[in-house]
Amino acid sequence: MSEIKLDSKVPSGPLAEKWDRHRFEMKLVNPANKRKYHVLVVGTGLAGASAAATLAELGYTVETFCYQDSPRRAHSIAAQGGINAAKNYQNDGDSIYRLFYDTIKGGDFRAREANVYRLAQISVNIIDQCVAQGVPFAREYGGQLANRSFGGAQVSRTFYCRGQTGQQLLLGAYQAMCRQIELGKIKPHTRTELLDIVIIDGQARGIVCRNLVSGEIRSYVGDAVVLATGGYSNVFFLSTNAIPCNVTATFRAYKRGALFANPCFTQIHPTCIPVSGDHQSKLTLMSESLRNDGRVWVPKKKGDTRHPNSIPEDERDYFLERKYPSFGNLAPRDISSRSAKEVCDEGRGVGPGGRGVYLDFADAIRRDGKAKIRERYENLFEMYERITGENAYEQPMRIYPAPHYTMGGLWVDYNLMSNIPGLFVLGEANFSDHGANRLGASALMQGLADGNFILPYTIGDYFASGKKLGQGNRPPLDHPEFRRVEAEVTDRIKRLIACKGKRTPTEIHREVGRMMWDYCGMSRSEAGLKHVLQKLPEYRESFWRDVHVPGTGEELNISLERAGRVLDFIEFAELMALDALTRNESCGGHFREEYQFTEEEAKADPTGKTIKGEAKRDDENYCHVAAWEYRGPGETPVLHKEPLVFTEVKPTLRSYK
Amino acid sequence: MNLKLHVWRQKNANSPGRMVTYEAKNISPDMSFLEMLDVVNEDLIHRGEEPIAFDHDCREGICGTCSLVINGIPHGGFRATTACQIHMRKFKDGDEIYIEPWRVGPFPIVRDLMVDRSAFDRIIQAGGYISENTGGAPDGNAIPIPKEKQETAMDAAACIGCGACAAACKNGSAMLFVAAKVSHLANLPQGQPERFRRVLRMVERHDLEGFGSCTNQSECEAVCPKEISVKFIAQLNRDYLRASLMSARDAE
Amino acid sequence: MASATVSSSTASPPRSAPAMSAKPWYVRVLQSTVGAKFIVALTGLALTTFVIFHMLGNLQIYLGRDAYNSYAQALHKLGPLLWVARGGLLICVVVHLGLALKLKRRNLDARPQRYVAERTKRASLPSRTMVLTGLAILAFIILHLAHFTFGLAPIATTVDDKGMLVNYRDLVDPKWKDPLDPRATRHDTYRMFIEGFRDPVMVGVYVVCQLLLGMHLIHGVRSALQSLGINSPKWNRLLDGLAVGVTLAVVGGNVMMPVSVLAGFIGTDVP
Repeated sequence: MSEIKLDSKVPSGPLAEKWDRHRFEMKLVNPANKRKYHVLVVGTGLAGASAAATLAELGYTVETFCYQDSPRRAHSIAAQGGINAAKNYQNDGDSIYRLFYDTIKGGDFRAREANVYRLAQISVNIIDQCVAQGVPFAREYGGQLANRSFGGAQVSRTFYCRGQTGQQLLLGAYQAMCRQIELGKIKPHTRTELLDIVIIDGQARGIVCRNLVSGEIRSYVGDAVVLATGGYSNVFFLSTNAIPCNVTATFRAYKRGALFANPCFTQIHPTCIPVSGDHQSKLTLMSESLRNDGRVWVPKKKGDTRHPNSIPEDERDYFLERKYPSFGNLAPRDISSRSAKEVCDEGRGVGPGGRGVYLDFADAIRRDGKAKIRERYENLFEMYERITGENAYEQPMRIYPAPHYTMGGLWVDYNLMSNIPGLFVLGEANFSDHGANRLGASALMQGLADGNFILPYTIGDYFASGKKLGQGNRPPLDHPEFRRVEAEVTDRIKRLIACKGKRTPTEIHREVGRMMWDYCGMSRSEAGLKHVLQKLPEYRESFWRDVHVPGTGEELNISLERAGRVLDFIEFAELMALDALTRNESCGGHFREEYQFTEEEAKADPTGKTIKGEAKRDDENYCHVAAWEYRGPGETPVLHKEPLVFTEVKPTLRSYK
Repeated sequence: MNLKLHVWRQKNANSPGRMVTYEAKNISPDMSFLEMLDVVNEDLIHRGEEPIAFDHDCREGICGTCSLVINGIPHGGFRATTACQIHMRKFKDGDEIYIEPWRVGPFPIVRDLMVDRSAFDRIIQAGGYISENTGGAPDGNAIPIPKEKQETAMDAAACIGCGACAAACKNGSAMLFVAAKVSHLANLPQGQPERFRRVLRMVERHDLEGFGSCTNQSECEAVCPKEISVKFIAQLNRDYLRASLMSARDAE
Repeated sequence: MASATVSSSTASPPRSAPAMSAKPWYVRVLQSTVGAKFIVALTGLALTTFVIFHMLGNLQIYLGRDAYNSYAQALHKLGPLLWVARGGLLICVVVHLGLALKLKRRNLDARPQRYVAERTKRASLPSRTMVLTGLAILAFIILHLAHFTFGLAPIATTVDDKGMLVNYRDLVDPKWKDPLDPRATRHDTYRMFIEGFRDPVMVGVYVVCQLLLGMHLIHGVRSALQSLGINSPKWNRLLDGLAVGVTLAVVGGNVMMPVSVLAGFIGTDVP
């Protein structure tokens, strides 16, 4: 199937007019006919829930699926900091163009220009929509919306609801969805996990799911399948994602022919609470907004074990402020994370194991008073104290980077449709908008943009484009293809249940995850990646011998759920490592040790913007999206390249100095 | 440290359940409560037994999935803390810990410590929203919202829908949950058009699901991990009273 | 430890509910948990008001026989109004009790299984025992009515000057020496009061019941206000104070009177 041709379907015309023009050119579905089209939305986070609600409002019939016990619990809920929008309410020089530029630059020029511009345009509508839905955004005394600044930007464009922005936005989308459920337009399925995708005549026509309570395997048929199933940070075992978050849906789609784009682009979030021991099940993130007032430092001396408060000012290294004077502690996530790793690698890390740096509020408390700081960050300080037992008002916090978000995902065109017709991918599950690194407060923006304002138009165009779709054209559930996929899914579960090895799925996951973190995490090397690529097939083989899954498939079985997800992660990890090895450059969250600026190069740069050890991008050879095609078990996937064409902005050295 | 756990085990909704005793050995004080259960589960799988099923997701105290009654109190009775946010340093070596599922009629047990809280979804479906279709919303700053009002709305909106209020209530009432959503929307200008219809419908659905009635014991407020105040129940009562006394067309 | 084996409730909740029911609005209000609570709260506050005035009126016992008997006579002279008031109280009691029991039954169904390690964090003892204290108060009301209003023979009988057994209801105010004076038929409520509380057992029962009434009021008054939607951080401390004040006044007053009799502070003029 190497004849796959990647067509991004980016409309022609000037950048600022593309989306308008495209909306005009897209075909529409007659309002009376919309009810004849049935959409399966998998995942009910911000992207999935908003898509489901909006599609139902338009008149389509929708079924939603989530593994949680309620759509309201999807992991979008954990986003703390905020959501960006180019409202320029603060009159500080923001504009759609600036948000677009910041996002493209923040993504290290590895995102599709037209998508990013559209995202910035839509950001404005998102805020209005959320306010109308009753999202209680923070307000000023005059009643106007409040903003704060966030990593990677020099303007205040982030809207927030205390430290619970993701929760409030998700509840807004969930409530909109609930309204449509009550109206009978959405049929929700909870505690239901997608295990495979059914493609008939080249179109995505259905999904096969397991009811997590009864164990029943059941197929669902529709005219389009929408995957909004989130990212794959849990490939590292320890991440800030919820433990059940998984790659299964997107990876199954990949195995059915959807291309997986840029799997090596993963984001490591700089402000997480350091690991405390082997028992750790997940990592906890603290909002990046802490960096607005906190100063990041480590001792200048290696192995300095003094209490932080007794280390004098001149023996501290405020390394972000030193290296990036204009952005300082607000440098983008990838850069901040890597700088932290660097100083820890030098042996200057703090806390148990030396994997941590200080985030110090002493100056801010002196400047603004404890009360002001408490007002801004009370819940975060409390969370920190609960987990570590330390009081951050009295001594600096210890932070360390942790996997947090994945920019890679299924390849989609401008319409958010994968290369499989009828398979749409939204939110973190697609690769589209963040390039090689995502800016803070942009994930929520993308989820709602995709779900509320993009998919509802583009899916109509797909339905109206004359393919045999809609009521009367849907294949029956006993179509041989449904039967075949169901049999495969059932067989896999039977094989897993039959495994009576000696290890739990979690143990294997922890081991593989740690290996991925060590060799394919914050920094990657050719040798390390080759090592991983040699080990992973062994894990894939031995998994079936080693794992032990108690219970049966016909009941609620948490070991079985975990085993299936871990197996997909192991297989997926190979793809990720392969992508990382193939991309011979450093960009954004993908840092290859071989590709960094040397001291000589830094000195030779007359502008002084080059810093030793900084990522060295290769625009000549890697200014493309790497989209991988599955070729069968044990076969090497085939790489397809979508060249990235920049017409408006010129890829430059991404300097935050 | 070593602990003795008494855990409710129940295979599914239709089979009887019972308390089973387990030993949790070599527990580190830095572990979270759920990590302690993970360790017990790993041990169970190694012994060929089925692990204890419990609901969890974000493990950061925001998704509202975890639902353990620890020593008789939902989420264990620590201030503003969900079960997943408890760390084992709160316990001491040799402690006995009772772990039970939410016990509310409308939350049937799914397995072991997992319950079915879809009744809460249906209460929201009855009216816990603003009927606003996507598109056509006015500018976010078109209607100024006093900071105090927005803060009050946010206090109520902080509800994570975990169900601890109903699980703690001696009457099995979910009034704090209903009140949180009613008050969140009633304190915002955008929520006004449907304010009275909403409260009538949500209370009706609450009753239909089989929850009990509020007798103002405030046990819900005491266990709420988001510290939602019972003053919102008073607001619900006020709104319900006004909605009931208004002419039918105004209220529905 | 003891293993409890209990089968769980298997009743599946309703998957979808009908739209707002078409019943008349007042039926819907009465049938809803919130509406029923309004009525319980309103009747409760009405009964509380009665209890306060009942206590205040009876304090006139300290003013002596004439004042007290005049007060009692004045109440009786209200005639039909008295019956309206009694009817109203009866309705309040019946509605208050009926709805509260109906809700209680619903609440028991909503909590079919207790926790093995049942524990409470904040809910006060009075708040958890409202039905029990309420039923105890009902029993007390019956006793109280039998004692003083209906004059149930075994507990409402004393010995008159001539050594004859006489029912409380037949005691005559001795103010008028001439038995033929038409005013001499005035009931000697004062003596009934005094005689009624000379029995330490009866006083004990009254005191205990007043303490139970206090438990009921201390939660009930505050709870009724909350049910009616009266809760504002600005006023809450005042309202808390009001509930405590009412409770202390009612219980204090009602306990003080029988104890004063038993201790001999008042009623020495009754042989």
